[in-house]
Amino acid sequence: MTAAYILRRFVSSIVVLFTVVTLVFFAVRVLSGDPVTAMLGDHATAQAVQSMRTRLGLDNPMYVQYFGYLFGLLHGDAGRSISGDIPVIQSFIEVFPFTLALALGSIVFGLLLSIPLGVLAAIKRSSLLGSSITLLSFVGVSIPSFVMAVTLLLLFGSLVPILPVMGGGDLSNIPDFLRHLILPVLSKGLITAAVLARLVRAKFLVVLGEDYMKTAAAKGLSRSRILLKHGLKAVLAEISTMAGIELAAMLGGLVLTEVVFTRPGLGKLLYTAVIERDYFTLQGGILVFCILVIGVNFLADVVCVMVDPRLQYD
Amino acid sequence: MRRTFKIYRLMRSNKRLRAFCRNKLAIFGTSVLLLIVTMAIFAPLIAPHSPYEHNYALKIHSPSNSYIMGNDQYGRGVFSRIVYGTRSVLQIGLLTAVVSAVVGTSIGLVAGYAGGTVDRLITAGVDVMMSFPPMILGIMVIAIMGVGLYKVIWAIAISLTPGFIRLTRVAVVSIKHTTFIEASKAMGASHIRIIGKHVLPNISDTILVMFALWASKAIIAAASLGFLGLGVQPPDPEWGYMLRQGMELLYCAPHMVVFPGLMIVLLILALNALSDALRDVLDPKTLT
Repeated sequence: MTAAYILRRFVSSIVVLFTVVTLVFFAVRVLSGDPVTAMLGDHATAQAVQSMRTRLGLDNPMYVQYFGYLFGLLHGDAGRSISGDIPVIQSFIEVFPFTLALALGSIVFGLLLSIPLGVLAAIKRSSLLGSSITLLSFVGVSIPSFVMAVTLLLLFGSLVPILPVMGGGDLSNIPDFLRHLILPVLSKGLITAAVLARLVRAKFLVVLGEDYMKTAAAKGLSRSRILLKHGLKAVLAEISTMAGIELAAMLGGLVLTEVVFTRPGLGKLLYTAVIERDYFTLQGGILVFCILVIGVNFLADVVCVMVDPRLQYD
Repeated sequence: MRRTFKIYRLMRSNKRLRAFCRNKLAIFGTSVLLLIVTMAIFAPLIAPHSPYEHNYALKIHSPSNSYIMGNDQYGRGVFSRIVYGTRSVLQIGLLTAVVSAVVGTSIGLVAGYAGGTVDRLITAGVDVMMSFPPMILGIMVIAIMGVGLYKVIWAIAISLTPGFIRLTRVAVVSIKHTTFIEASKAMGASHIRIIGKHVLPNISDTILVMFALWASKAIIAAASLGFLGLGVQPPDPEWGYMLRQGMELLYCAPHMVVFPGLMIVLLILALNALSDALRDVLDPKTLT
C-alpha cells in the first residue's frame, strides 16, 4: 500500500517536472522578446545577430527548438552558456556541492536548534524561559535572510574577525570549506530554526492536551519518558513534513545568501545569468531549483508516510 | 429572528474588536503600521531633505544633527530616503496582497466549491507553480519582463498567489461538507447564494489573517529583489537597494546598512504581529 502510494507520488512528480520544463522554456522564449538582441545589445550588426541565431539554433521553428531542448535535457545537455561557452550542466555541477552543503547545513542546524527549543517553549509556556523563546522565534521569522546575512557580515567582518566572510572555500580542503560554511549556515539556519520552533511549539501544545498523554501520566511513566516517547514521536511526522516545506522554501532564498557572502553556488550562478542575460544558464538554473523543490517535496512525503502510514490517505 | 441574529453578530464582532484592542501584538502591529503609513503620506513634511538631493561634501558621513541617520555615498540623507522609501514599500505590500487575495480567493473558491475535474486541474496548476521557489519565480518574471515598480508587483503577485489559492481551497473544502451548507442546498439555494452567504463569510477570517501575512511576504520579496538590484530602480529610494549599497561600504559606513535593515525588520515584525493577533482573536481554537 505504501509502495503504491510512493509510486503514485513519483509519477505525479515527473508530470509536474515535465510541465515545469515546458513552462520555463516557453516563458523564456516567447515572453522575453528576442534573446539575441538582448544579449548583443541594440547596436549589434544584422550579421552578428544572424550568426548568433544560427549558432544557438534560434532560427528553427519553436517546436523544433522545444523538442531539441527536451531531447538534449534527457541526454544531460541543457545548452551552453552564452558568455563563456561552457556547458550549462557542467557549470551547475561545479557549484552544486556549495549549495547542497549550505542548504543541508542550514536545515540540520535549524532542526537541531528548533526541536528542543520548540518543545521547551511548549512545556514551559507560562515561564520566562518559554515566553522568551516564543518572542525570540517571533522576531526570528520577521528577519529577511539577507538582513541577517549582512548583520553577520558586519559583526564578523569588523568586530570579531575570526571567520572568513567571503567566498566558498576550497572543496578539496575540508576544514577550509567548513570554515567558509559557518556564517552562511548561521544566517539561514537561525531563521529556519525560528520558523520551525514556532511550528514545533504549536504542534507540541496540541499533543500535550491529548488524552493519551494523560493516560501515560496516569500509568505512572516518568515525565521525560512521556514527553520523548509519546509527545515527540507524535509530532515527528509533522516535523519532517515541515522541514521538507521549509527546505524547499529556503532554496530560493539561497540566491541572496550566496550573493551576500560572494559564495559560489546555484543561486549566485542564476543571479549572474539574469544580470548577464544568459538565457540558457537562466533556464537551466530555474529548472535545477524546481527539480530540487520537487525532489525535496517527494522525499518529505515519502519520509512522512514511512513515519506515519495513516497520512497517505489525505 | 433575523433581527436577533443581526444584533448577535454585532455583539460578537464588538467582542472581537475589544479582544483585538486588548491584544499586545495587535497594539504593537497597528501602531508601527500607522507610523509607517503616516511617514508615507506626509513624507515631504517629515523628511528634512529631498531624497534625491546630492551633497558631496557629506559623502558617507556618520549621523549628525542635520542628517540624523547619516548620509549615503552621494551625500543624500539616509533618513529622508527611508521616509520616501515607505511609499514604494507600502504600495508593493498592499497591492500585491490585494492581487493575491482577490485572485487567490476567487480561484481557491471555485476549486474547493466545484470539486471534480475543475478542482483537479486547478490543484495541478498550483502544484506546478509551487514547485518554483517563490524567489526564483520572482527573479524569472523580472528577467523576462524587466524591472520597475509595477513589474515588481506583478512578479511578486505571480509568485505568491499560488500559495493563497491552495490555502483558500483547503478552507473551502473543510466547510463544504458541513451540515448547514448541505441544509441550504437542500432548501434549494443557488450556488451563488451559498458561496456569498455561507462559504465566503466563513472563510473571511482565514483570508484576513492570510492577507496580513501575505503583505509581509510581499515586502520581504520586494526588499530581496531590491537588494539584488532587480526591484525598484535607483535613484528612487528603496530599502532593499539602500541596504545593498550600504553593503559595499559596510565597514566605513555601517549606518547605511543598519537603518534600512532595522526599518525592514520593524515593518515585517508589525505585519506578522498583526497577522498573529488577528488569528488569535478571530479563531479562539488556536489560542493556546
